Amino acid sequence: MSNVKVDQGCADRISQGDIFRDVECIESVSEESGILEVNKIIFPLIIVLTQDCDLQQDSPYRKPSVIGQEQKQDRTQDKQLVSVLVAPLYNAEQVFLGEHLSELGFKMEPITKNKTPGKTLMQNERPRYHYFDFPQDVPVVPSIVDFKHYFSVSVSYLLEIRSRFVCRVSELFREDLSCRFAGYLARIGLPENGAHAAPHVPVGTYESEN
Amino acid sequence: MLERSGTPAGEYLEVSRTTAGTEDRPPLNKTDFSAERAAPTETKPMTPLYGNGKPRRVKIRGNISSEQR
Repeated sequence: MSNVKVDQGCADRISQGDIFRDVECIESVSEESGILEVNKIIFPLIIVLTQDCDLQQDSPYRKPSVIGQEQKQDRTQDKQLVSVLVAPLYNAEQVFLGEHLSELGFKMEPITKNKTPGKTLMQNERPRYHYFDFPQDVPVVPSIVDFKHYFSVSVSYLLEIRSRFVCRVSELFREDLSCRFAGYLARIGLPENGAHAAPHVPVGTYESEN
Repeated sequence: MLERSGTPAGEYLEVSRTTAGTEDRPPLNKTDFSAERAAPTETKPMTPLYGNGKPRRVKIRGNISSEQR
């Protein structure tokens, strides 16, 4: 059963909750003796996580007709963004099997769909994951965001690929995603042995479940 | 189907119908209305279902001129 509302119309700017298909993440670019090599990962679906107010304030800088007026009023580009934070949406069935990153050579932990691990995930009770079951009229399979996976893309790149816009997660639902993502990033994993744990172990490392 | 009764052989043949009406039914391939009965074809365009693929890695290599370096 669907657990999210979406808007399918394409807005004139990038918004939080926008879902795009076939988005590239540049892994590395190297040049040696005149040979340029670019390694990139193409994600079938991604969702925009950046705060919508930031995207709204950035959008005037992207419109040539407005740039002149904006510059008269405000001579700075104080609100212009450098990049947009996005997270991949993985096919839920593949996530349950632990095979969603098999083409990248990653073997992931399977999650039993019909038992507690899978059920709690689908109820969005596991901090690491966010589950989307889209309405029937939305052509997207049930999907999962893994908050350990995110990357940034430039605003201009997302504007270039507007034709690959799929839909937008509605307000409240996108804010729920954003809030849960922020909570996951802000987590502090405390060592099981209290203050006697190794001091150099980074924050979050001790978290047992996730 | 035809069945022979328990009477002496050759005296008479009693025909019993184990499945009523099947003998008189014309072969199916003579009058086949299946095509006419088929549901009308769906005219609504199929929307692709997104999210079935997996992330994949792509490598691009190319020469750049010394001026571009």
